[in-house]
Amino acid sequence: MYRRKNFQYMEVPKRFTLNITSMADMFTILLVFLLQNYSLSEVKVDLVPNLKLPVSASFINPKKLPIIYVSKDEIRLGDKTITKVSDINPKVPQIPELLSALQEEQGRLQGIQKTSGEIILQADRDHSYQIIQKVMHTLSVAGFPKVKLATLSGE
Amino acid sequence: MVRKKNLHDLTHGVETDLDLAPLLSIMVKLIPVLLLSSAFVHVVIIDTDLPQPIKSRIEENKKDQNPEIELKLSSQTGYEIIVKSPNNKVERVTIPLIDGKHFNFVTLNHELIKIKQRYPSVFEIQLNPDSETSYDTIIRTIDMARKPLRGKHTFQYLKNPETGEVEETDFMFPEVTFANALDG
Repeated sequence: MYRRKNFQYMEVPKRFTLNITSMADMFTILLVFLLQNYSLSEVKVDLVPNLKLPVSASFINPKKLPIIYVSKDEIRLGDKTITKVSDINPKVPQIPELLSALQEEQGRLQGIQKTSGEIILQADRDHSYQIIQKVMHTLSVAGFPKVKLATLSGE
Repeated sequence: MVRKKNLHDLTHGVETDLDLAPLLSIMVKLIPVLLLSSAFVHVVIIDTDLPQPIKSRIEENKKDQNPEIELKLSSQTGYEIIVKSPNNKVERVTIPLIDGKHFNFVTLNHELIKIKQRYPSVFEIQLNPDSETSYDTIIRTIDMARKPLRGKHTFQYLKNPETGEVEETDFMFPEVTFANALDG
């Protein structure tokens, strides 16, 4: 008799509510964090492996421009590998392979729009100025005198 | 009296559960969108100019009464700031390396503040690093030249010489040119 009474008690329909306050708190914190990291940049600059960018306090967002990558071991223009860093001749002020690739790119850009001579340079932070200088020399000769140095944002 | 009691009952001592389900459903939709568009690593850019044979000549012709500020970076000796006045007076400030190894960024910033206070209308600096200087050091040097590190320094400069309009800024030398980029 006692058992039956208990069973009847359990059978009574009961309103069950889930407490979602803590979940809402967690989502709010997550939302604030994601809004803080929301990128307002019109373009996203991809990071490539084997390339550590230096950190700067600049706040200028990148624009849609051709990108030249100078990683630890190779030089790339967009997706195309141009030459290996180890193959750069220290006695020659320019990098001939890069120059021809840049001139080709300049010609392609002139067919699309008026070129501004701007280019983004992503170089590894451990490179010496000797390498950077050769890249810059080549850029200047190829008609890209306005170089935007890509860095990671930080204080 | 009866009315007053009813009102009291309505506003006090009544427990209500706030329905958070719609708020939660908005968040559940918002979070994936933000996760996709968020950038956890922000890439920014620093504008620099490279000298060009023709451009440099035009610039020479345009040269006004402002002094030229050149910053030499040597991995052996440290920094050297050279201020060339329009009347050909040359002033040099040297900042040696710390322990013969590291560049003294704080002193550089301090010296550049002093120069900026004297020449508030100059915004351009010419960088002249040696071949052994690391790219990271160059970027940090550009940072030091852009803004004062500590304290609230503002510089007044003549924005429009015709109208005499004066503006205040906390920027020192944001326009960077690699003076020796064509020397290599």
